[in-house]
Amino acid sequence: MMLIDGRFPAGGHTNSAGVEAAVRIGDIRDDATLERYLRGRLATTGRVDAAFCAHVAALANPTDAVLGVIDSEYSARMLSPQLRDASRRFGRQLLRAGSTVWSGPIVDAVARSQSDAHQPVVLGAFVAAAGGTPDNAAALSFHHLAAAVTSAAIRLLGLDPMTVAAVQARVGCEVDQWMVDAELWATSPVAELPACGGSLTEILAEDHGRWDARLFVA
Amino acid sequence: MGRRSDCCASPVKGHGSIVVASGGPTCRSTLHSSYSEPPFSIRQCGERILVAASAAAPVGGDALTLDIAVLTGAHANIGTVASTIVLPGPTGAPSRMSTRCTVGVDAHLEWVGEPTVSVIGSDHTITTTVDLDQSATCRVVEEVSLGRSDELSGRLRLVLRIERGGRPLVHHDETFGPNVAGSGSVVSVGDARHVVSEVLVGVDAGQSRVTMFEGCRVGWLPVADDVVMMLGVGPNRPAVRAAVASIRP
Repeated sequence: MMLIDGRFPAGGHTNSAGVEAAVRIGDIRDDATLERYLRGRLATTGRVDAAFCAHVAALANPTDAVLGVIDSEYSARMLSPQLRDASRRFGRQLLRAGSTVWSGPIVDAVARSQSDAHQPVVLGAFVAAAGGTPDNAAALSFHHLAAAVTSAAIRLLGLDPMTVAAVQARVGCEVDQWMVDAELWATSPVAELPACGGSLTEILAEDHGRWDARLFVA
Repeated sequence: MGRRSDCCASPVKGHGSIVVASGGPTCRSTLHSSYSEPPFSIRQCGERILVAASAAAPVGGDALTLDIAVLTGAHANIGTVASTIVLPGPTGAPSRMSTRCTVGVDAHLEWVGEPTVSVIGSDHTITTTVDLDQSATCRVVEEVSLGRSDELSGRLRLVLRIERGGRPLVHHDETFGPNVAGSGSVVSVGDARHVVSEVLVGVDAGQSRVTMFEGCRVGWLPVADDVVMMLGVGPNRPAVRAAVASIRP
């Protein structure tokens, strides 16, 4: 439960998942355009993150080599350097906060990675350390993204939180169609995990990372 | 009119292969061998090796494969003669085109295809994999036009995976079309009609940069010190090509 709590000090409140850039150029303006955006993010980067999170959650005590391959595969799916840096930063913050609560071989293995682990890798490790399943990990990952998108939209546009909660619930139900893949993601070769993305997701994230004044890291 | 099963031609299951060898220091791009079934017609044209379409394909239901091997020391400059128009088939079945490339020691692959045009009602997947030797380099350019003039596009999925020495450099899987989740938003390509992606391996990647140019957005995105993914989206081909040109070093 703590892992999905927005008050858990893992830096999640600084991630808008691209919403800040989308609002700036008018792509997200209201509930309808927020819903369109959320649906697209969950179907693309959301599936990638959930798949990697589920995959890691199924590992008991991974070697450095295994985690190295996972790191390479995830990085290859994240084309924007700004996004990659942000993902490692969120991973580092989550690792620092989570390590005060959970421990275990997989957390130790992730902690000794040569480079800071990506956020979905760290999240998957904590799910495993907490005794969760790949299914739990995928659900958590989707929830993290949905919460990042919707809470950022509320802060940036002043949308009605009740209406936005309804948007999140409505789109969240559609996630079930991918959740059935969680067990497959847990056992698939990592090279075969989803690589869904969007061109403007990467381009705008790179641009956003260079703004002089912004509220969110990504 | 006859029944559908009576009037429809069978889907095309075409295959082609290209093997490029080095002909020595003065000629590093020799078509060593090739094999082509319709719709592929493969020819060496000066320095380039070109794939021409000898039949209308892909149409829904078609499954096309093209294998490219660039042997040790060779520099292969391969492309297509004309745009590829992706048409829906009579049964609604999806079509696919898979290109598998292997690039050997000290070899280079230049793969620059003309645009793929997704026609309304079509459902097409393009999968391109490039397996580079650790010493190999490449430039892979893919362009898509999302619909003919004043028409919506069909569903078009582009999958690109490039490995070097067995390690992934780029793995990008993007689906376009009016019924795709997030369509019309900046998760995908917004209201853009033309998309260019270009991967360069073996260059000085330098710093990332993003530009807005004549209604286009283009990113120069280093994924390693010597590997760049360039992505560009915009209203039409001339505008996107100009924007892409503006961001090159």
